[in-house]
Amino acid sequence: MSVVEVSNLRVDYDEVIAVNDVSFHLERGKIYGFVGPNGAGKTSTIKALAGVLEPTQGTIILNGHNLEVEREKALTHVGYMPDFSPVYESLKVWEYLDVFAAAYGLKGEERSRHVEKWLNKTDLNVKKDALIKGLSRGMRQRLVLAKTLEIDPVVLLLDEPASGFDPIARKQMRDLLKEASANGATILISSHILSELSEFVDSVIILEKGKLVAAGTIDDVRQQTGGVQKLVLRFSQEETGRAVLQKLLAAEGIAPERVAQDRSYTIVHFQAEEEGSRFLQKLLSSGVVLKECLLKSDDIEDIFLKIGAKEVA
Amino acid sequence: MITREDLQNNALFLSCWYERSRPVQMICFGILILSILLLSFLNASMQEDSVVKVMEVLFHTLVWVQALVLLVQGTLFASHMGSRERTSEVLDFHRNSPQSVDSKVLGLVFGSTWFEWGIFAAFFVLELPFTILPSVDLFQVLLYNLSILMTGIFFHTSAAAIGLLSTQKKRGSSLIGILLLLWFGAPAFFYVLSASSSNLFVHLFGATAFHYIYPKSDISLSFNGWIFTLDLPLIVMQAIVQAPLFWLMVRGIKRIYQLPNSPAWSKPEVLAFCGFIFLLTTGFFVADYAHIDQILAKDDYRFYPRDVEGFLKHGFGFYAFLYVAIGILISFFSVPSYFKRSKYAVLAKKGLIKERTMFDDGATGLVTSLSYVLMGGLFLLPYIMTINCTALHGTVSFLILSSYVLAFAGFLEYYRLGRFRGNKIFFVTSLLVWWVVIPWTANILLHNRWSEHIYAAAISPFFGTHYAASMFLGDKTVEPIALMVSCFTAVFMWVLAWQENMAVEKNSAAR
Repeated sequence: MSVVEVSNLRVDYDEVIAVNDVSFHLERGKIYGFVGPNGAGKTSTIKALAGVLEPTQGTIILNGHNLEVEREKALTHVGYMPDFSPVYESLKVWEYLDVFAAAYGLKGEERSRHVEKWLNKTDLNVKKDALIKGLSRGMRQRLVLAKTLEIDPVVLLLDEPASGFDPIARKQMRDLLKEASANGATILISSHILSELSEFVDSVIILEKGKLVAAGTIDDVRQQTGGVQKLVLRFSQEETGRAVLQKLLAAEGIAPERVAQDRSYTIVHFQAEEEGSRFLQKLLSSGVVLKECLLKSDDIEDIFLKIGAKEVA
Repeated sequence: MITREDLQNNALFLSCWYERSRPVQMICFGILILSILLLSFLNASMQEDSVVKVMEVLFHTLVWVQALVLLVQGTLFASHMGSRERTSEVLDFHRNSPQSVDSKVLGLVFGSTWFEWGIFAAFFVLELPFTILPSVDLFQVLLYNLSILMTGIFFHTSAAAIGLLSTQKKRGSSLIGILLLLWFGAPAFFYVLSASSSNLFVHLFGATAFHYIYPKSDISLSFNGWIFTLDLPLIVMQAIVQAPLFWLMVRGIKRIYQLPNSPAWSKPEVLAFCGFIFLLTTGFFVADYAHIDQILAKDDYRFYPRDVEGFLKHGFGFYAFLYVAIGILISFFSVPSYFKRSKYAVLAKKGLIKERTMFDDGATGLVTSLSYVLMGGLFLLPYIMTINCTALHGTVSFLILSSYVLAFAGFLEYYRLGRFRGNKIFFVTSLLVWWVVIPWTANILLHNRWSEHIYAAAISPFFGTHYAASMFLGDKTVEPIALMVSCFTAVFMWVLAWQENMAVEKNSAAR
């Protein structure tokens, strides 16, 4: 069931089209990685979904409500976290959480319980009565994460949420997001730390120059972008090894374009999961001695690099 | 009715409440206010003999402190809290929250000033026992408090709205601000020409309240509730004057939360506001005539009863008709939402990157500028017709003044469309050269004296406005070269803008 439906979204700035005719939908309880080079339109899309930026065109349906027509209903359970931490510097940590719990309709005891719960979950309890102006960047980011999650969101929109986190906080954030997803929240998360995204997203949406270039589960996108598995080889005797490899590639009918050289490593790309393992078996049975060997499926990082490596700043 | 629970569950109210309820801050304010009252009491006790006099001084101190705390301190805090939303960018979180926009307005305006409202209420209670004094009337105290209350709401709302716009870089907002200033300032300026005391400012800034406390002072006696042929109670006049701007500010705050990329005020709102100001100033103008005997008894007056009577009899209907007709035309031509959507739709179909054109949303488009100049002319019309000013003088001064508006609008268009777009140094330097360096140099070379000849200096509004205003009042003769220079400047600026516009269209088509 779609919780978020985006149709023909377009966002213009003064001189450029930041998002151009983008359509996608997000299913309940799934985590979506939002990937693209700098300037691809990820932040603009997330802002438009969060209602903090007016799209030039297009329709956004959140929880069955049109954002333009029924703004308050559409935003009822939408949590939004930008790539920096907007905070009230003169408020205490618990007060900040209390303010935003109230903004989403939590009242009285229930609100206090939520605040307490999320102070504990994000390890901010020790700083409960501290003024926000005294918090480090990572702490502020953690506070904003707590503010975003405390409302039990149905839709979570996270724009580079881990940018100020240390490794422990990153792991904690991943666990919290997985928990939210298990409780039914749909999460759209943009990040440049693609290896992290690979670990916990169900699907990816890839934008480039404001246009959607691929969307779907990671397996689907692997197929769409070409290349599913890669075999990384390092021969004991390079010349002999490469000669044998060439013969075997010719025999198997694998095009030379699928082979790349990176220093002493030889990388072969395959278009099906079984193709790579079958090829490796044949290579080993041909008597070639390998120093190192790695057979792996393309992760988000590989897919992303294939699509927009040149654009990455 | 707003309940305590509503406020406890209002996010913006809470955010302000927490910041403003720190004990140290409250204790400091409390000590400061008590000190003022104590000093006033001690001072009066030493200087006045009778208890009644001492109590009167204390009452007046209470009244002044109450007004200062609510209107000055409260306004500063409302502005601070508004700009806090913008500068911390927490504003986006409130835009993203599902709370109703009415709650947001209430939370921001009342939340940032609850302490001052508390002081106001406490002082109101404290003032009541003083009504046993012979010089203090209960009804007057009630009216005073009502007047201060209305001004407080108006000031706080305005300050919060302006605070929210403080570092705003949205296209259109600053232009709308200039537009408001122009529309609000122009009638105020001409009203000053027409009346012995300016009702607009007396009631807008809440000076009305002091009429109830000092009813016999000279200034209080000059306050009046005249509008058209009516003589309304002062408190009603105050409400009539403050209401349109208060409405505009509330609309502005709502739009800032609801429409993040749009200007704070739409053109229809600005037009409606202008219409209201027009109604007020015309009302004051007619009221002056209706009460001309009382005014002439006190002051010099620029109007001549017979001319005013002639205008009201023959010209007013036509004037009002033209005003309304042009207002409707402007609504059709320059309401942004009509064109915005259609333009984007066309661009999207063609797959073109959005480019700015002459008719973009903004206040400097040719149609928009001309419309506003025409409406400005209509504002001038009754004054031209009733002041001792010939039609030629009036028309020439209007043309000169309009040419500056159009020339500046043309320059802005050129700047927005051209290759120097966004280059502030170019913008400031060009204006300096145009407005100061050229006229100054030319004037030195031509050995003109500012007060008599204005040939080359008419290129600049700094010099030309003074000349046009003097001519309007009949103090200067018509200089055809001055008119030609100012009009040529306007045409030249629009030719530059038009060229840039053509270049933009050509580029769009090529793409």
